[in-house]
Amino acid sequence: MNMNKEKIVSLLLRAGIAFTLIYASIAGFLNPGAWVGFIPDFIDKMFGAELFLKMNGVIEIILALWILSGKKIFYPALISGIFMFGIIMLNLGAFDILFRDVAVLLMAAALAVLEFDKK
Amino acid sequence: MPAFKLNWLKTYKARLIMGYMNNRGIFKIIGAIVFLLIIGFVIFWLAKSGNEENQQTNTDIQNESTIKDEVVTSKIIYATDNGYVPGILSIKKGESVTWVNSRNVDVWPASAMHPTHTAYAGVDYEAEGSFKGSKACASEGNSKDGAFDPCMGIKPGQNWTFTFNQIGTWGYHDHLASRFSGKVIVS
Repeated sequence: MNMNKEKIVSLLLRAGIAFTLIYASIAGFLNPGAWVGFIPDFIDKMFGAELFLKMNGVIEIILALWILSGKKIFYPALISGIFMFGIIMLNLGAFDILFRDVAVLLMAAALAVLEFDKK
Repeated sequence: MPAFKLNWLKTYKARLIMGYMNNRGIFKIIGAIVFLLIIGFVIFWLAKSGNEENQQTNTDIQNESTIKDEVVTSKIIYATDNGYVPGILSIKKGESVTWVNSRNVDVWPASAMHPTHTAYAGVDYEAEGSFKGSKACASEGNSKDGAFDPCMGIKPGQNWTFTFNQIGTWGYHDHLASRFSGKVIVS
């Protein structure tokens, strides 16, 4: 792929994934009641849903900033993909809402493939 | 053709083929993963819809109580650890549905979509107030007029009843565990 095009593709993928992660994180902090429904029972029992939501929000912000930084982004892209896969698999009953996350999961996979050689 | 040119061509072709093979390998793996994901989801949804229809046939229960000479009929949906039973319920306009909490944690059955709960028709969702992301709630425990939302968790062993006055297929989910969902078909 032409280097310029590759850079643009990488930037678009990174911006898309980072936006999703930051939005989810901030929304989770501001209105946890709307998000606790996605936390599975076993995690709720282990940490408490709201505490886990906050921990999750911090991780999402770190991942987003790492992806935006452009340094060794194969790893955060891979982690984000696994993250999305986990969210989808643990909430298959809410697939009417989470079908959008399949797009983010595949974007993260695309970014990981694109950045594989640069890791 | 001179020998040196032939060798160069062979090497060039070999490189092309090797490169193609490598790329093809990656594409095959990615393609297989995407294909398996899609097939997995399709099988999951087909299996889920089949189960829900069977459950409805097997466990369609009517709770009847007599008030004066009138028989009030309320169909029951159980919130279990495996989801709502039955998953799909058909009723007539004006009939009531009672959700019984058979779990040992609170449940909150409310209209799609999560978390705003604004899919059910005939409600002024722009009216003042909201609760835990639900625009169907004026405040905790107080739903907006006609809204399909208890606006609070239903305790284990307790139940909540809602009367459907709008015709349509109304999806709902558990606001506290959104992987649990179901449908009420009102005709």
